[in-house]
Amino acid sequence: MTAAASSDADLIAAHAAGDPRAFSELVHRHRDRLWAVALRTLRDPEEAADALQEAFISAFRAAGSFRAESQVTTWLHRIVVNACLDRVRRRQARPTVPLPETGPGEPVSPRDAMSDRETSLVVRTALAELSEEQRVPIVLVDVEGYSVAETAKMLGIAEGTVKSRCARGRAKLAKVLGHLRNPSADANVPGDAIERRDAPTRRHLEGR
Amino acid sequence: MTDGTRGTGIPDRSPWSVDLLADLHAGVLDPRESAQLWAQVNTDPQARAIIDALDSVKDDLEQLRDAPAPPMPAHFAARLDAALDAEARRAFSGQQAGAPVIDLAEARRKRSRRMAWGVGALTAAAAAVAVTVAVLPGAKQTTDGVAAPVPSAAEGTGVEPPLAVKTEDIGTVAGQLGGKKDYGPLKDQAGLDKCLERSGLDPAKAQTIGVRPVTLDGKPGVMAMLTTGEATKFRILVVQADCTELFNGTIGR
Repeated sequence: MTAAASSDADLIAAHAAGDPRAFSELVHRHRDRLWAVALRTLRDPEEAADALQEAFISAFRAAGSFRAESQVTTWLHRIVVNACLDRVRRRQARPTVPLPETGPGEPVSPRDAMSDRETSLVVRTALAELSEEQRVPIVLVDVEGYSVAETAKMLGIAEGTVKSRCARGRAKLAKVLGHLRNPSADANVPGDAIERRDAPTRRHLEGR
Repeated sequence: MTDGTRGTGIPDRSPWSVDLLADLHAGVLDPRESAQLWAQVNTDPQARAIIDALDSVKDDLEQLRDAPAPPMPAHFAARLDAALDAEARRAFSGQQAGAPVIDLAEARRKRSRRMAWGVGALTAAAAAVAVTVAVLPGAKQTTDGVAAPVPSAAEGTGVEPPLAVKTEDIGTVAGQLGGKKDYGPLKDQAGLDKCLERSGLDPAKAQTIGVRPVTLDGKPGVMAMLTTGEATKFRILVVQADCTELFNGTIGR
């Protein structure tokens, strides 16, 4: 089999049939994209690298049970996300180690006249500024495209909680990314725990 | 809007709370309140501007999914390749697969405690007792696994002991070199560069990703992982203190 001309599904089949190079080819096709997924989910490059390694080895071993009706990329993506979420859960279970607020050389800056590449960098950096509680559901829903229901199931939290955390995170990003024309007009641009003047009159669905 | 209701009978909420609108936008509010608020928002330019800002955030995030992103750094990629090479060898050599994934972070923590560990990842027996097997002082050292630090006088001094490596395990051990720069008897990069030249390599092109002292099939030396100019291929060089070459090959593809 010519690896370069093979589809992802062909490579999985070849791997399951004992071709020792097939899985490696699959990894090289998708590694960098999945690295980006792991990095924006976990922020810490060491943890992202470990999660990606765990995910690929899990996929290597589970390839025999891959079902052709789903896309290989979707299958791999889900394995990587699950490996990342396992690490998020483990991290939440132990004392927190603060990470740098922004990556080296990646200052958040106004977005006027930026190229798409610069915009992506700014968005990635702004995303990294969110608390993990807000960042992870936003990454899963808004970046990776999982539904609120899927995300709630993956994170083991209520759908209302996913929506609420996404809402808080988007509001903060709207400010950081400069989409709000006058973010200080209402002193209620969200931090993590800002009291809302209208809170007593509202009926939130969080936790339902 | 002097009566605070804009003539709708609904209380005027200007200036709008961004939090409230973010909740509305995300579907957090109950349907009745949501319907009432959308009716107000759609007639209020200030509120609409905030909703538009939140839509822009969602657009930015969605575009991130397929936006070009920096590739996986070379030393992480090399580590991944090495782990997958080892997994492939296990799976396709007729040996039993299914050993637990080696947690590199955990492995690092264990090494840092200066314990003599044998990383048993090849046999079902090793799997049954978890990934690592402690080697008692004076007991025969386990070298079946990826790499076993040799208990030595270095223990307890803060200097990592050399890794005991078999030639057939080089691909796996190389994955642990990324980012480490312990030149051992070669002292520094200049010492390594001399050996690179002796082995016919150009130090200016073969950049060092990681170095550490090892014993290769029982012979003491220094293992270096070097760039090759190809993003997914790395050179592994093992030399003795006098630059005698013990191993010179590439991993990855």
